[in-house]
Amino acid sequence: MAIVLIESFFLETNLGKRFCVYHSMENAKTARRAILLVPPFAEEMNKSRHMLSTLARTLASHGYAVLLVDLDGCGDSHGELRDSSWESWRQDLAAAYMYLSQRTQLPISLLGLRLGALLALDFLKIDKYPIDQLVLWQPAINGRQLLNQFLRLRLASDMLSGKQDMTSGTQAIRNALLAGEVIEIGGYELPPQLAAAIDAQKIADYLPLEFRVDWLELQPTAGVEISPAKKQVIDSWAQQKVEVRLIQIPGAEFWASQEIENNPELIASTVQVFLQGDR
Amino acid sequence: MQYEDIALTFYCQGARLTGILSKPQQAIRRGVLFVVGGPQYRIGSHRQFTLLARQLAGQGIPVLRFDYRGMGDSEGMQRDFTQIDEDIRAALDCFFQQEQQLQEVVLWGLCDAATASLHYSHQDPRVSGVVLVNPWVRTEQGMAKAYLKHYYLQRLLEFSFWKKMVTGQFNPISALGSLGHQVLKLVANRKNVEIDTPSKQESGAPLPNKLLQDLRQFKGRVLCILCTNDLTAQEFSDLSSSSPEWKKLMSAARVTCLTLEAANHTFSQRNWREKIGAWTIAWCKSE
Repeated sequence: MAIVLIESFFLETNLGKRFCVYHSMENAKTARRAILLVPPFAEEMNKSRHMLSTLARTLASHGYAVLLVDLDGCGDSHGELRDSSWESWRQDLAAAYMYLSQRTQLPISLLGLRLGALLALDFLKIDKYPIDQLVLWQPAINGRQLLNQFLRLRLASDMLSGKQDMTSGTQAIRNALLAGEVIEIGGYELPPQLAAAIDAQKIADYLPLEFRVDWLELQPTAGVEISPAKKQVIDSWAQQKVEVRLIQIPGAEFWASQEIENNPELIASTVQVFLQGDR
Repeated sequence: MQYEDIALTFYCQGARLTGILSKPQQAIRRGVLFVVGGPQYRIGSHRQFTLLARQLAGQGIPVLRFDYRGMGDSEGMQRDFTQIDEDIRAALDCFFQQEQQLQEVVLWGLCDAATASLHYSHQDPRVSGVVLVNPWVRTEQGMAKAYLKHYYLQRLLEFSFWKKMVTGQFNPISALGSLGHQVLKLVANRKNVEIDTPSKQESGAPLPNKLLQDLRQFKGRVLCILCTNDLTAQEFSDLSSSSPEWKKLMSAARVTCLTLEAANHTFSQRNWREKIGAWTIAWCKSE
């Protein structure tokens, strides 16, 4: 068993301190490549932390240098969610990228889970940092859909406490956001500017031509096909000469489960996907 | 007051654990160790432990929170709250090493981490107090009772419940099925309820009796915080008034009980979290 170095620290950035965990092989003169992991949103980040952390250690044992970063107002990083924004998150990725690049002097790849996949795509499109490979773990294809799921949590809690009934839908909450209010949902204080940015995200708006894309999707039930909306994005990318590959792996949505769930097969496939990218 | 967050790595039986120390510039001699339970890692549901730690550190209380083996960023096999004594001990060793002025520590736990904290408390002289928030004492009959007493009976008295009934938003068939299921469990366990008096059970006892023994053995101070909109807390509340022995222990001068009105299990609002933070700070700084 290879000995993996695990180093947790706070990275100083222009916007404040960001909690990071750096993983690599101990005593290795050179790593294969450096990989930056982009976490998902809110409670999905909590539930998937152990999987991302296990992935980082496993990749490090295969010779990669891996950085896990907590975004502005999330996890152990400084700041509060109510003061954070999509732009500050992109800047955090830039700071993490620069750190990883300077420390390892290696080419960099990204891996994003759920909303983290959209953030990674946006960062690469706008900030134009060069990468070799992007791995998407169950990417959110539509920010509006993801935000609606989140807003429904508030709706459910309002209903249970008798404040509202389900028929009013998420529109009332959306109106409050539009009026500039910070909305508290399940303990998270969502600021309007962040909500608007998430809302506007669509994976179909990106055309990642500059690097290879591996799209890893979990299959809760065997034989169930990927959703038509996702298939459409992948087909359209392929037609436009994006080097994209879909890999389906059995398993449940570990980022949304009640208890902590692991998926060793997803981790093993991800290692393979990076090893293939090296060739 | 100024404080700094410091990332730490320490060992527990060969596994590397990750912790965050919130270190005040001028720290008091009593620290707080957050024990994290359930499916959460050191930041807690909706990041509440990160924010609570900062609130405490801002008032001069040093705080360490960490992932036990198999959780969050820590190595090792996954485990549950009944198997983390060694992890708590390792975290305390690290805490005392980092904070040289520390003389004693309070363990702070929510749900099953509260139960684990009380279980550990009497095994280590460095622990002078425990904060138990909505402690986990679940048994099937206890849950059925709490459900009946605090949920259904209360709901029958609520206007909005009847309104939903009338407007067809409430499905009485499924609700009655669920109620029937809970009552059946209660009846099925009736015999056990009668036999299970605390005096007859000592070793290998189920959770409620184990907790009673732990409370008896621990000689330090206890702060118990219960949220009123939480079945876990209701169940503990029922249990702690269920026998003369429980009542006697809970009414001791070293035990303080506070209830947070309307708050849910993870007190998922800023005002609730800040209230619990303020109670913890005041209690930690007293005596």
